Amino acid sequence: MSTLIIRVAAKYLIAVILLYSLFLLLRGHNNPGGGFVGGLAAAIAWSMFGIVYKESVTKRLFLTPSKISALGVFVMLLSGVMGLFGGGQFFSGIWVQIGGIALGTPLIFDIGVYLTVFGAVVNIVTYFEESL
Amino acid sequence: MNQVVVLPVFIALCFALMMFFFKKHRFAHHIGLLGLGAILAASVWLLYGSYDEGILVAQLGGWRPPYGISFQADVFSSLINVFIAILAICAYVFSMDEIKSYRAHAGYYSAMFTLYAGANGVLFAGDIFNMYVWIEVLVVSSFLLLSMGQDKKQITGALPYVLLNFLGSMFILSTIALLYGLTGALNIAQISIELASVPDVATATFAAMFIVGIGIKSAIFPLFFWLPESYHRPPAAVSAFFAGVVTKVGVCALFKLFGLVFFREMPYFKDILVWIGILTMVTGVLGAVALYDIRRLLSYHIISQIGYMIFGLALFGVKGLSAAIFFIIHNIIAKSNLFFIGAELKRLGGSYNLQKTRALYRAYPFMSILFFISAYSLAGIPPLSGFWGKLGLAQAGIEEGEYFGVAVCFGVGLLTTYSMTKVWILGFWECSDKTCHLTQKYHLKRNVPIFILSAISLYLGLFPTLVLDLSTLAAEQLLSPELYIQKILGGAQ
Repeated sequence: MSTLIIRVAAKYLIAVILLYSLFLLLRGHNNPGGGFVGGLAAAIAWSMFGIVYKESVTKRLFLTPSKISALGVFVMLLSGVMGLFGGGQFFSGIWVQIGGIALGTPLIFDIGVYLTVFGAVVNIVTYFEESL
Repeated sequence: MNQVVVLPVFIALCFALMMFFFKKHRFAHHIGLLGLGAILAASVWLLYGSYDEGILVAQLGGWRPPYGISFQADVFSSLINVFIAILAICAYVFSMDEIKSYRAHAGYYSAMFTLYAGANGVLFAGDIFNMYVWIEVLVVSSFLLLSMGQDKKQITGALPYVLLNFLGSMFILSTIALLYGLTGALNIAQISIELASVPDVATATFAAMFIVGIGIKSAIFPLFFWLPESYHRPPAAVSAFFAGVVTKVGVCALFKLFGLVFFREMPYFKDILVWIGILTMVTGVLGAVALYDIRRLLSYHIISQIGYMIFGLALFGVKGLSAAIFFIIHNIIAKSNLFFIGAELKRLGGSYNLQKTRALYRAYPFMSILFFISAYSLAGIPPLSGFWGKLGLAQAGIEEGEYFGVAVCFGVGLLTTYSMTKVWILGFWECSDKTCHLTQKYHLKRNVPIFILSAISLYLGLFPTLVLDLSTLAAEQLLSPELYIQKILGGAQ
């Protein structure tokens, strides 16, 4: 799996897939996409990195994958609390307009999902990679 | 005020995450106690609120019912929740002494918190799909706690548990899907309205599938065999927490669904449930009578006690239901305490096996008395807590004309007494050849929880009025779906 072609191609592919995952994440609220798919796409990029370069992905991440997952859940809870203080109900959506773009707590929730899915999938993939 | 309904789940999840991030820190688990204290405070507040103002409803995200997900706290769920919170604190303190550091590093405390969050979610969810999700949270964390430690025996015990529980989840999920297809509703109050226009056959199918799905999780008659295989294998704190929470929460979900949704439509389910209850009681207690390993024996008693609860539900009147609710509470406290004491028997007396262990009474009279209180509460000897539950069940049963069921209740009670007396004689009472000597010290972190639970058990026995009144109120609420419909959908209709 580590021929020259794939090693050169992987560099570009990983960058493109990561960008695409961010695109999916941001597109998600009103269109197909969202944190779950985005997280999966990002996880694909990182697993590809691990497979092609035979290097443990976890060393290159700022936290261990399981901790990224936990952080994701924390971000989700945070969006709930923000709703509680801003809208009166737990998980209420709060929206602000910045330069014509609507940003809100659902996006924060989606980022949480993104991180959770990313961490979980990378965790599973690295586990299998290491035990192979 | 209404937002407090979300608080116990929220605190539990926050602390689960905190425990996860700081799991290698030496004092991390001490901070967890703070979280449990906060949860208990929130639960008591909720109980007071739901007693004072009626059902409390929180709509997540401000979406109106029946479209949004609602969390509802009635007296039933908050009452059960208070006692689960007390048990959680006791199990937590106990595990601070019992759990070795490798388990703690594998995320033991965080799994305890997610298990608790799941239990809470099931109790408070007002939306049937949401309830399913919380059941999954509960069950997945319990898998984790069961298989943690990579002990081969533990894995063999966990395997049937995992497989059967997934089967149960599948049943529940497909029932929800069918229900949604026919009624277009997921909110329990809304379903209760919509079912009136659904053909009887379909409603009966749903009820039966729920009984099977939840029955697998709470170990009712033909579906219980995974329980004695798996419950005695993990550490005692885990077994005790499972005994008090996991199976009981299943029963609570059944109470909620049948009380609010199915019973008005399906009166003939009464007979089915009566027989399930009777058979569960009898098979459970027969297993217990035959065994000498204290943990396995107690696991069989769990099954037998579930039978009483189902029987109480089947009587389907305020009296039967309130007695069953009191019985659940008594069981959460007394049964879990017995698991703790079983672990102490192993530590102080040398073995879980009653035939091998040394008798504790001479060296550890205090512990023996605590056992006596819990054991005979379970058996239902008059001044102790189990008596009031059984008395209520018997009264309600006679009023309903279920004489056979009541007779079986008494018979099973006698066998329970026999089995507990067996434990008392072999494990605690003085026998000349195998008296225990004072070799081990009392461990504070193990014995204070046992003391507290025994004290609560005694309190429930000697002064049952408060809890009995509350459980009567809870049963009244559960049996009047109009209240829920009015409270939850009132604005929407």
